[in-house]
Amino acid sequence: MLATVIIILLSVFALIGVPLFIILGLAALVCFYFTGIETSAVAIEVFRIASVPTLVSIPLFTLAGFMLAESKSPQRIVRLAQAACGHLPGGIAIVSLVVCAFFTAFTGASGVTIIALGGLLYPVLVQQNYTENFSLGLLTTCGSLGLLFPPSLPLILYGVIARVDIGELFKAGIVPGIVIMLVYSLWAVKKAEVKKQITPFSWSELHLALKGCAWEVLLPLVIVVGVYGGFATVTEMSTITAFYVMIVEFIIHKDLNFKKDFSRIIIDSMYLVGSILMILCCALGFTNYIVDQEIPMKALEIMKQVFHSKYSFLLFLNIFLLVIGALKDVFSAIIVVVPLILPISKEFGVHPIHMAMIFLTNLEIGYIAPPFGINLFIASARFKRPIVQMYKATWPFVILSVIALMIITYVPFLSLMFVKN
Amino acid sequence: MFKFFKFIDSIINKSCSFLLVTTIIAILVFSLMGMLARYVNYSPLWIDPLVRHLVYIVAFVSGILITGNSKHISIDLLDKYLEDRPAGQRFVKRTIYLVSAFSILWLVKASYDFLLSEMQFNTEPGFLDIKSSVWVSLMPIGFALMAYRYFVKFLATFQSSENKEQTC
Repeated sequence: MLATVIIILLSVFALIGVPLFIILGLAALVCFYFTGIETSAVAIEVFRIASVPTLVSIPLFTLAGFMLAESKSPQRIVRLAQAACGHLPGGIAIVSLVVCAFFTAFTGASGVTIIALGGLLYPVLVQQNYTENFSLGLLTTCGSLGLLFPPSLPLILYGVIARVDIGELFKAGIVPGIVIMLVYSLWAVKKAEVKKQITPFSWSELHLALKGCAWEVLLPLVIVVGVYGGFATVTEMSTITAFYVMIVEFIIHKDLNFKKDFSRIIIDSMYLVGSILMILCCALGFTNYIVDQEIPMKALEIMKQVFHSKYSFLLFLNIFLLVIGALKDVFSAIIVVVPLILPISKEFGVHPIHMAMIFLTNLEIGYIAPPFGINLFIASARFKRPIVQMYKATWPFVILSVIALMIITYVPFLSLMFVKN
Repeated sequence: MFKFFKFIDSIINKSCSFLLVTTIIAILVFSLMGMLARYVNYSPLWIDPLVRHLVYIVAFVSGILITGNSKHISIDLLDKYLEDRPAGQRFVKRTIYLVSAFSILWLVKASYDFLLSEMQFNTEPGFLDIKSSVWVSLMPIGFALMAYRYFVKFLATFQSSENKEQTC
């Protein structure tokens, strides 16, 4: 009875808008208190974040992403992508997909992509005769595209929570990420065929655009070669990336000014980092309680009675995660849900890295799923359109995302082809 | 009285902003130092734990800053539906701030107990001869400052409604 009252109370607090780190901290305190364990156990778990080496990469990659977004890199990259792909059918839409995926991988789907690139790409798409709803839907969807590409924050956080090698996760995310982009691209090409929008190709424009953003284009290569070539760990790579972006944007391009912009960008980017780390701190105590009480094992026993094959379990998992994705943000969902479902999925024979891809793809859909997908609200505010129009504009992309999700879920080879056993 | 609380709050905000920028610069510098040192086969043992503990500081300092700006991640469903009902919105905000302040006070108590046990049982100095209780002490301080900021925000809801009534 008491447990029910506490669960209801915590749910009400969460729904009215009490910050999630407080809900998780309170849940941990209450659980420990009522099982007769000292509540200082929660504080011991909070202090554990000082012993996780990979967490260093979160503030540094985020800082790099925010520096890129605040500079004139988005314009330069859009110009290059337009010069390279603009002549293809659906080229401009594909440009939007590529550029947004690049930025989201660095800024962790924090809404920065929609805010920084939305205003830049929306007029270009409309100018190319794409319908208003298609353009809005595409850019809203693009706000979370790229979660599977390195060095995305959700991938790093998943690695920390699930204790999976982050370098392997980076490798695994590339093919499923491309699958999602391919599905969207085919839709964009189909839409473009109807309207026949094609920009003429020009070698000189391509050359000029490439010259303009050669430093930014090199960045993903530096990360991929650095991590996969064994030259640097993920944490070291985050340091290199932060310094690289700083040198490019502050010294080479001079888009940003040390005096005016540096501390402002640090503080802005740390708002995101701080909110993730506070959730992580407080959730560690709660997940410790869940694991201590063997709740995943109890859930597994029930699951085994209901689901008799891996595939029916995967279908249930997708529906469950889609609901979670629509209600929770990606970071708290990873921190709270991964420790619960990982042991269960392992028992059903799902590889932890394949699980990561399924998990993050579901949460990627959650960002655009009506009625609560956070991208819908950000895009509604950014493009000054009513939320109902955003629902209409985004639904074809939700269906496309579900198709991509099914491919990623039922073809594990796509996620595991580059992964060492 | 409220002005005094607000003044303290703005001092907390400015100090945390400064500390956050300094800590991030320190993380950048020490991470780079650690990398370069490894490439010349010299690995000072204190760099990695120092950087990890700086991230722990970032968590709390940015947490305090975000508390002041209400940018913590939350579900926030009701706020969108109460946009046209200021009285309802004010009531919800008061509930949020009060629940948050008291919950964090409980975290302050839990972390203070942890600090006491660290001071009693873990007396060996760690890296750079710093005792772990020094790092742990940041936790009750950090949580206490967050609770304070929620308390000030709670008081501010009464202040803004009084101001509106006076203007009317």
